Amino acid sequence: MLLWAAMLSAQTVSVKLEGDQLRVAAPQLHFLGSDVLQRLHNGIAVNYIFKIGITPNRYSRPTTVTSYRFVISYDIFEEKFAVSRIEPNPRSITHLSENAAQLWCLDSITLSTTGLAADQSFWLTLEYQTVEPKPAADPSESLIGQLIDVFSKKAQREESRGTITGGPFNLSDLRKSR
Amino acid sequence: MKLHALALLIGLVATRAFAGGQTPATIEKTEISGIPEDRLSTALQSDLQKMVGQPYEEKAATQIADRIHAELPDYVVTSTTSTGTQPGRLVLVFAVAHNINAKYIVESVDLKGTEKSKLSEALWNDMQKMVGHPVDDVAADQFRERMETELKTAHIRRSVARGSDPQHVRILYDVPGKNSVGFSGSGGYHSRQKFSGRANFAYTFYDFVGVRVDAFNDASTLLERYAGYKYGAWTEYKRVRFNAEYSSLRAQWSPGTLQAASAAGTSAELYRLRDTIDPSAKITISPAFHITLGVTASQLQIQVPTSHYESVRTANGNADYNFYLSSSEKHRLSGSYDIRVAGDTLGGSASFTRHVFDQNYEWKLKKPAPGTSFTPDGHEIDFNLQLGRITGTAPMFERFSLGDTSRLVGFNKYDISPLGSSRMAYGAVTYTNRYISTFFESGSLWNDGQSRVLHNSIGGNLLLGNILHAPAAMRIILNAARPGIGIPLQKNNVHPIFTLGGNI
Repeated sequence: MLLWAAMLSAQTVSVKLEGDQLRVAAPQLHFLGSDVLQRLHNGIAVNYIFKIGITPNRYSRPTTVTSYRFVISYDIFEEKFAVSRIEPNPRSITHLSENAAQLWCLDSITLSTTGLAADQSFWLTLEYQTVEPKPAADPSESLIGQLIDVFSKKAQREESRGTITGGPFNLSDLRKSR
Repeated sequence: MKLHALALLIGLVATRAFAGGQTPATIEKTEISGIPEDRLSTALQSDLQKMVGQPYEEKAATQIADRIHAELPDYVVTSTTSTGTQPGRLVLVFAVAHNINAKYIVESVDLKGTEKSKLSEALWNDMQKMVGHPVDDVAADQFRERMETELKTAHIRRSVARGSDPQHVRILYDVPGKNSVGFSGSGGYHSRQKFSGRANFAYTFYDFVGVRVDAFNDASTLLERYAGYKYGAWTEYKRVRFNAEYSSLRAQWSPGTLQAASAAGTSAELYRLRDTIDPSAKITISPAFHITLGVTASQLQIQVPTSHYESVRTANGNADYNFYLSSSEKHRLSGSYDIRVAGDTLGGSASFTRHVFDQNYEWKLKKPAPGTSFTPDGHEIDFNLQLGRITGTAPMFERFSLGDTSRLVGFNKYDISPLGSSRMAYGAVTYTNRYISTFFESGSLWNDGQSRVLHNSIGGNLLLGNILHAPAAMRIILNAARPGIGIPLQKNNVHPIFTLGGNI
């Protein structure tokens, strides 16, 4: 249990309140795993989806989730990382170190506090995973055709994924600590 | 008038050559790479066209790139040039992509692991059209998919590497070998159970069909020492791997087991030959989670009271998983649940249900340096828990045992339970660093209704190759040899067990 606790403490997420937005801070999170770094160093861009959500307690599922989509690439000549945020609010940045690229992604992630009462206790869950690039959608394809496509697809390359959770927080305390 | 104009032109050229040292090339054409041009505003498209015929200026190109980025802020936009159709001319390309390497010009498209003659001419020619243009991930991946279709493989890897010229890259398609042949072997020594060994030959055609042959002489895995051959073939389609195996194994029983069986009146359960057919299907639900379903039909030659055959048929299910708990890949959880059911509907003389729950947690305190998988370089703690339960009467090869080269090393399985058991609980904590591996193990075997006796042992292995700083090949062999000792933690009869190697 002590080991488990030590492991979780190294993987927790904290938040800052900026206006009505919660901004994530997870300095221990290194989501660029060794397999992903290998692909990046081979000049291949890697797509990530981050999902951030609020839960009333540690183990329940988030009721509202906001998704962020990033593409990370590595300049094979300049040996620097570039990050594109595809959605929401598209932006991009280049010439980053590995750590800076990860921090830039995490710094981009915010969550609205709308609907949260000031003294309501909540937990924050941040999930991330690599995904294959979206293929061009064929609007003529039926739902059944899409399902057949999903189930007949070859197992994709191993995903890099993880979840970190932080809390309990409440807005009153976060406002005081600003 | 003509002379005046000519003099003016010569003067202009001379002035430019004097001022810049070199005449700037003229923009022959502008291109947008990575997106359709109509995604840009009309004004921007118009300004792009106005650049044609103008001398190339880096500052102007950068300004246009900035304007494109302002309109498409999620894209990385860079300007680059490629040679024009005539000297002194160039093509100005704006690479608009999510991959920063899209700004580099493709110098060559190469294959590794196959030859271009294996591809259709049309595909090869289409692939070569990428040369001279910026890297286009979408197009490059489409070619990979076409290659996979033509070569009937699904494991082609694409990479982008630096080219021989500055700002130029090579696109490389790495095709896994069509035919691969492998030989491997493993072995172990237990000071009470002596040597065990296994040799394996495997042939794989691409990654979707394979055959393998195993030869065994193994005293470690089961209650009996068994020797013989196993033949297997598999084929993989989409997410499912179909596997079929046939094995023919001769059993040799230890004096302890023979004596215990005689005393218990169960000598009729000791077989001499065991032939098995084992078809199964392994389904990849996700890369980290698999389900395997299958059946096993075994025919046992039993010599007591007279020589005769009995069959055992089971339906098998297995679920296994393996994933990291943290982004740093320091914490890994893996495990499996295995069930085998034998009953009347399947035929056969045995009726039982066997469950095995095996869980493992691995904590890498310090990750090994890349490329040191054979010579563990970090610090690692491993927790293992195994629980087993059999209801009904299972044949000897399904019964549980502890006390071999990998589990409860300080004991001899024939001393703990010479006939095996129907209940098993086992746990181990192992610490491994560059030079040693030490462990504490605890386990118990019992039958339904019997009292449980917990057996504890400690021990360790030496990674001799690392200790001796042996050269690479010798280091692998010495580290695999892992000379070890297991010491039972009990008051009486404390005889250490010496081992070499590990799992067969």
